[in-house]
Amino acid sequence: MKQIDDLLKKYFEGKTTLQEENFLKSYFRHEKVLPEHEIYKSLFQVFDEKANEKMAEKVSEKKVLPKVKRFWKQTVAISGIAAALLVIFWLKPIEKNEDFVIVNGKKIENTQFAQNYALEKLNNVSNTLENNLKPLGAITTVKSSMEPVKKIPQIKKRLEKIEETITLNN
Amino acid sequence: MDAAQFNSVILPLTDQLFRMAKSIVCNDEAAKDAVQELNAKLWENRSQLDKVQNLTAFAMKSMRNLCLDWLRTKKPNRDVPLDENLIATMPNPHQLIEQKDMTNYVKQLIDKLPELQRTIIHLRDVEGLEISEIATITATTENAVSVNLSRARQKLRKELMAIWNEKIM
Repeated sequence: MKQIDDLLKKYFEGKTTLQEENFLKSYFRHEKVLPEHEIYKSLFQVFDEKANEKMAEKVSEKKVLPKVKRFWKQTVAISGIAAALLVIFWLKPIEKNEDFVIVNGKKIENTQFAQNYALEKLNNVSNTLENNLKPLGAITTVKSSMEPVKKIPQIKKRLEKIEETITLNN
Repeated sequence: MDAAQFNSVILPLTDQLFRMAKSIVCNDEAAKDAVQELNAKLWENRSQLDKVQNLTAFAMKSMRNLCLDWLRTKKPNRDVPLDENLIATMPNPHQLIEQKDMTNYVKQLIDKLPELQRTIIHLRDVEGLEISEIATITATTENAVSVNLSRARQKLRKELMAIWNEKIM
């Protein structure tokens, strides 16, 4: 057992090799060691215990790569969906005609019908204006016919008074 | 480094990093937190990991630095020299009859070593690393590692002999 004593001496001086230290560890793992070596048994036993110690709660990928990986996964997914939608709308514009008019409270989406309806209504407005302006034409005729009469001073004076009165009333 | 490489290279180091953290902070929960934090940091900087030659040594060194920061901020006076404190906490030799009590006592002795000696003892006697690897992880010279290893072991032997002599008397 001189070999063990020599190795222990070297060990406590910090001069043993890993191989020699493994030999000492193996020796102290035995149930029976020499009484003079018993003192060191607990020391090597502790080293063995510590070497077999494991972290009770294992580190999982989800815990290690917390925000970083999941954040990028979500970002990539959302960006992908957004990009896909953008491409779809860009390549294929909405064909649906969103022009419409409201006629008598009803939504009319038929463009041709709406145009015809608008044209008809505009014609009605035009006819109404034309009919209503016809009396104005008669007034002009009367006015021009009255020009020779205005040469008579008394009548001219009267007419001017009448026009003045009309202007004031308006 | 992508997620698959990270899972196959870094995550298997979890237990080793946990033991390393525990040997420095002497606290299970803090050691677990340190492992989680380190893994998250390594993941965030995974693009830089491809340039690292020895990922195990790099991770261990990073873990030590993280734990030293934790000790500085959370427990500034945690690192107490063994000789000054041991007498007060030394159990009665008659209480150390059971082997289990003795191993618990040895664990306390190791925990009370100065941090560098505690880390070097852990890396050598528990993890079985070469002196050169320990020097890289602890950012010291190989000679400094050997000196600290020897001092740590001799302190442990001295304390063991003291308690043993009292036990058999």
